Formats: sequence, structure tokens, C-alpha cells
Amino acid sequence: MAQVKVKFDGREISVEKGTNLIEAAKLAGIFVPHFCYHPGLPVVGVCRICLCELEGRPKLVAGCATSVEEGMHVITRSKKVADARRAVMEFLLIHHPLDCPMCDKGGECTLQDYTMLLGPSRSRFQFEKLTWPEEDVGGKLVLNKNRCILCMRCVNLCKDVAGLDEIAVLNRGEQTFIGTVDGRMIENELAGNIADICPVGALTSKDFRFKARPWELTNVSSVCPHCSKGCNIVVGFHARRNEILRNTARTNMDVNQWWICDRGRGGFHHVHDEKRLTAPARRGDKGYQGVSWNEALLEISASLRDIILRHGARAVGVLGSGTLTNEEQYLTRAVFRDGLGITHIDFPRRPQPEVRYAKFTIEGDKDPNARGALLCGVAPVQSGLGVRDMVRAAAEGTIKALLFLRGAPSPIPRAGCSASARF
Amino acid sequence: MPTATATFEPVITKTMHLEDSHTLGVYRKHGGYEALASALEKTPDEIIDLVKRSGLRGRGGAGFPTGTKWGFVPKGTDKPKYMCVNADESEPGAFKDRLICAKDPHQLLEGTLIGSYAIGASRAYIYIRGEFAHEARILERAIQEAREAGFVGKNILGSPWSCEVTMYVGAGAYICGEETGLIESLEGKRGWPRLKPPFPAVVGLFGCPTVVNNVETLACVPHIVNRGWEWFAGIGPERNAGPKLYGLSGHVNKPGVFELPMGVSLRELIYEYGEGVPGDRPVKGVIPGGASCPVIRGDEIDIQMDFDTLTRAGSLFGTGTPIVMDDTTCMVRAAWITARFFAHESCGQCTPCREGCGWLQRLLWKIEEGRGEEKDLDTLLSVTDQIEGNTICALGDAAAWPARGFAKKYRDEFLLHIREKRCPLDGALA
Repeated sequence: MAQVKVKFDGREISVEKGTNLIEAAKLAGIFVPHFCYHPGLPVVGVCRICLCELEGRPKLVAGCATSVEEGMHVITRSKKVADARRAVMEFLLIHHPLDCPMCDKGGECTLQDYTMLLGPSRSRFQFEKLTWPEEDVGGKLVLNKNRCILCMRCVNLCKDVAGLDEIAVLNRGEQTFIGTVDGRMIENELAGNIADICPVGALTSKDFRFKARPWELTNVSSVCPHCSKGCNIVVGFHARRNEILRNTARTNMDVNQWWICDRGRGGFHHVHDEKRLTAPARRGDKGYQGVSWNEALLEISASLRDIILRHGARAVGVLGSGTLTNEEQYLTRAVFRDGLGITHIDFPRRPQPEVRYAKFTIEGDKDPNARGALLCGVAPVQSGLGVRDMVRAAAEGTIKALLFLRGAPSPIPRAGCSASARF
Repeated sequence: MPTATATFEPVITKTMHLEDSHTLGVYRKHGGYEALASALEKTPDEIIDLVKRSGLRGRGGAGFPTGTKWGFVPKGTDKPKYMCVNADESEPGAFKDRLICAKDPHQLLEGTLIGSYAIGASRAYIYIRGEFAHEARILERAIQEAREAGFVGKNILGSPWSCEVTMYVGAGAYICGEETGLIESLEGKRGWPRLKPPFPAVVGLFGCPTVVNNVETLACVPHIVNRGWEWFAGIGPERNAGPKLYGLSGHVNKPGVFELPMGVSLRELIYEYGEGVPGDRPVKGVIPGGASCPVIRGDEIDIQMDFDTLTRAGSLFGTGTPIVMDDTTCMVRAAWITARFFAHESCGQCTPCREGCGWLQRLLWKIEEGRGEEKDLDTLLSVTDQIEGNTICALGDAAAWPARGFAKKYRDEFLLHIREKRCPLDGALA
């Protein structure tokens, strides 16, 4: 697309035509504050904090809603601009409860940041503030209207990305509020993103609320393992407690843009689940008994050797997994197929219905590395059995040992199968 | 009769005193729909040119030249074009469009049709204020009559041009009188003004080129077609031409709608047409053109009522509907009433107006109640500065201007409230 030359505070840059002033200013190394503008949402121009001056124009313009034009000179550092932005900050704070110490957004709140950056430190508003009760708006979110600055990001996320009008602006004037339609709950599975993009503590995540302060978290870039989409995420890890506390979206325009689904957002709880198998255990007559790794590995290898010697490699089945990494897939093949000559080797598929939203799809393929498994050769060879046949053969007793590499079918087949191990 | 207006012969209100003036029969008997017939013999461009030359400026408050607005509609687009009639007259003090809708709806329809023809629209919407239930019924009947007589619908008067007129009743929000708020409301959405540009002439109703015109503006159009642009331009001062409906209210002996040329003096309007102030009390102040216009003092009423003169005087002509206040009026209370209206009607979309209007209202009430401090007056003026020019639509300005106007013009009275810790007029003259 055509490039145009524009100046920001005297600094000339060349940008693509049609870029808005906020994005263009970024390229010039100039920060234009914004609450309602989000690159992934429609421009609404309601917060007015991004007001900029254009040389030769008497009125300030909204940076989000103004596109660059050839020869434009944008002024972001005049007194006029500073006054207007300070005015907006003062207005936004007149009914704001200023409850940062007990607000979950504290530390990653745009309103807090801009107050430090632009705002007046004292308010001239000396009247009773409007207050609202806190409200449950769905499985994942809590709404505190007192803190809301009516930027509409939540409304536009539901409307534009999810394609659902589950949350709306109601009433008017200073009584305007964000609410759900007829008090219904927000049920779409992208709603968790609202907590990410809410610039204040109005809509916070029930899951993360009051667990920790954001500055206590070590943020680790990662990829969500829960479906074949591979959304980019940031794992919020509390190092002192050795605990993962949240997953948030990480922008990747080629994969998930700015969003993740709520399954991925909550998809870390199994890590700290008390039922999670974290050490070897042996199932005996009295249920599971803990054993050491050494003991477990010795016993498994001894039984495997015994079964292969007595019944041959076709008496062993290996169930891999489409969630393992390429390295793990390679090892699966190298150890069991190439090393032990096992032919019953496969991995289970766990498809679920795909969920399509207007601009985001939750993939139905829940085995993110199925292709890696196939390419690495985690597949039946020489008329080896597939997953279902293996389990049946184990139940019938033809297969004496089953190895599960990630999770096991429930209940684990027992009859006739003398040994099964899962890792 | 005063000299300036002695020779003026009313045109818009000419037949309104007649019985059944709202019916097609009476309208046609007095030359109704002849302008439409002669307009259809001209090309749309000729009509736009005619209106441009007449100098007709929008009667809804902003005074934008109507012909120029029509000229902004792009030609050679395959999108449909729309004409929207703004009958959402909700400015406190204004009641002139309502009169046209009730007493001469066909005049409005004829103007609407000529305007639609000029911009190439084959559908016109009349957006009427929810509270105008009576007027809406009359308009609905008028549209039906016009349709039956072949003025609305397919192949109007045997020409190849067809135009449908639909009435839409609003739900009574001030903001739906803002042209893009009106368009949103017509689309069935929340009446929130749109970001501009793009302007409605390019991207308007349903994303198509749209013209939004005030009722009175369109009511002038048939007369311009009938009598020529020279006639229209010859009435009133330069660049502020034409006949005008002045809606006079407040402390006057004879409130009402008066059709006079643009540029009539405010004093003449109050004392000749309004027959003075009850009890011959002095005029303390006048809001010249509806609640959003800054007040002018009683000693400033020797002023020409037109767009440019009032703007130069630091006020606004607005809809040309003065509200007169005598010396019993508390100006702080008047300011508060105005501020309360705008706080109630602010759509809540953008920050400065949503938060600022409520703040103004609180400050004014505090002063009126006698709890004010001198710094509140400074805060008040500063809040109006912080709203003005920073909002999406003009409602922010419309709320800031009157509050500032009152506080500046009657600073002494504000300070008296603060010093005496009460409203000095409370009960004094009641």
C-alpha cells in the first residue's frame, strides 16, 4: 500500500496510508495514550485520551479515529494536548473509587499508569461518588462498575470477535453502565479475554482474582497445548510459591492474534491438581502404593523383558500421545519400535466439536502434535494393532502389557493383562 | 408595526390559521405541490444550485448552507441515497418544527420530496420525536394522503422518479436530534453519535450517502422553488437570508411562534411580537436560540437575530427560539436547570461530556443551595473548558457553552449566592 510522509512532533516518518495516529506515532517512537483503542477491535473513539493536535487545525482530533495523510504534522506534546488529556483523566477519575490497594488490576492497570503519567494528582471533584454493587456476569468474570471507564472494549470484543451481543452499554449520561442483557451470564468461551483487555479493574478474572499481584509473577512465554491451534500464551508463574496462577494471551498475528479461548486460559489447573500423578505408584490389592523411580523402572523393564521373552514383542502394546513433543515422539519410536521391536504402537485421537466464533475458532483437534507423532513413526507397523484393538486385545489377554505414554483410558483394562504402565 | 418587518409577508405559516390546514385539500387550494411539479421539470443539479443561491442555511441550529450540504452527496455512486428529516426537535425552548408538523405537514412533505429529488434519493425518512405523538399521527395521515394523490410513491407526477416516505418515531432522546445519532437510531441502534469523518453525505444511513435536514429548512424549499432564489435571498441580512420561525417563550405576554425575516431585532421580537414582559418587568437575560446557546444580558437585546450577528456577540442563533427571563429569575438556578437537562441527555458515550455534564450540574446546584465557594466558580469555568471541543459530537459544547455563559454574564449573581450562602432571589419576588 502507498506510503505517506508525516511528522510527529517534528520527527518525519514514512508510514502506510490509512494507519491511524496511535499506530503511526509508535513507529515514530512516540507514545499516544489510549484506553478504548485496541488494534484488534473496531475504533469507537469514546475515551478521548488519545486527542492529538494537527498543525493548522483548531480542534484536537482523536488519534485512534484519524488516519495519517501526506504532509500531516501531528503534535502530541503541546500544552493544548496535555491539558485535554489531563482533563480526560480528571473526568475519568471523578467517580472512580481509587481503590487500587484492593483492586485486582493494580500494577497492570492502564488507568493507574496514565494517572502517574498524565493525570492530575488531586481531584477537584468534591461530591459524593456514584457507586454500584459488584456483579457476577458469568462463569469467569466479576464486574465492578465503580471502576469502569466505559471504554467499550468488552462490548466490542463480544460483538466483534465472538459475534455475540452478550454484554452491552445500558442507560445514558453519567448513569451509563456496562451490563449483560437482562442479567444473563456471559457464556462465550472468549470472555476471559475481557479481563486481559479491560484497561481498569472493572472486569476481572474470577480464577485469578486475589491470588497474587501481577508484579509477583514471572511471565513466561509459552504455547497453549490444548488444541492444534497452538495459541501463544504468557504463563504467569509465581516463583516463590512454585505455582502457575494464570495464562494470558500473547499476540501472534499468524495464529491467535490477540486472543485465547477460556479452555486454554484455565488450562493450567491440572498442573497443581492433587490427583495428578507426580511420582511412581504401584497398583496392588490395597490400591496404589508409592514406589521409587528406581524400583518402578526396574520392575517395568523386568516385566517387559519377561513378557517379550515368553510371548514375543506382539504381546506388548504402546499407546503414545498426540500431545508429546517431537523429541518425545522420536524416543517413543526409537525405544519401543526400533529397540524392542514392538509393532502395536499407536496414539489415541481425542477430537471434540470445533467451536467457531466470528473471528476466532477453537479447534476440534485436541492433539496438537498428531502430525509430529505420525512423522516420527508412532503408528502400527507390520499389521500391528491400533488403539482400540490394542485395548480389546489386552482385555482378551492376547496383549499382556500395555504402556501408556500420557494418560490412560478409563478404566484401565485389567482382565487378562498382567501389566500396564503409564507415564 | 415596526419598520424592519412591516412589509414582510409570512410564507411558511401563511395558511396555518385556516381550518384543516394540515389536510391535503387545504394545502393544494393554496398552491400546494406546485413547487414539486415545477421542480420535477428541472434537473436535480438545477435544484441544488437554486437552493445554494438562495442562501438557505439549516434551521436546526448549526446554520450550515443547505445547498452545499446537498452538493456533498457523491454523484455516480450505485449506492442508494437517503433523505432524513430531522423532526426530533428537542432543544428546550424550540417548538417551531412541531408547529409545521401539526399545522402544515404537506409543506414539509413537499420540501422533503424536492430535497430527495435534488440529491437523488428514492427514500426519505421522517424521524419524529417520540413525544410528538399528536404530530406523528398528523404526519402519518399526510403521508397517506400524499401517497394516494400520487405525490409519494412510484413515478411521482408521471415522472420516472419514485420516492417513498417513511415516518419513524423516536423514543425521546435529545441526542437523536444530532444527525449521526439520528441515523444510528433509525438503523435501530442506540442513538450514539458517530465519529466524523466520514460525514453522512458520504457514509450515512445504512452506510449510504445521506442528507439530514431540519423540518423548517425543508419547509422553506417549496417557496424557494416557487418564488425563486432572488426572493429568498432578498429577505433578511446578507448570508443569513430567508423567513424564519421564531419561537418565543419565557417571561413574555404573548409567547408563540412568529414568522419574521431573519435578522429581526430581539427587542422588537420581545416587545412588538411578544408584547413585552408581564408586569412590565425588566428583561434580565435571554437565551437567544434554545438551551444550548449562551445567555445574553437584558441590556444586550438590541441585537439582530441571525447566525452571524449572534456568533459575533459570543452567543448563538441556534434554532432562533429565544427564552426570555425577567428580573425574578435566578440565573444560577436557570444555569442549573440547563445543566441538569444536558446531564440527563448526555448519551454517555465519550468521557468529557458524560462526566463533565454531571459535574457542572452538581457545582451549580451547590452554588444555588448556598453551599458554594468562590473556587467552585473557577472549577465550573474550567470544567466547561475541559468539555468544549474534546467530545465526539456537539452536545458537549452545547452543555459547556450555556453554563459558561451564565457564569460569565452573571458572575456577580453567582458571587452573591456564594457570599450570602443562599439564593438571594429565593422567595424574594415569588
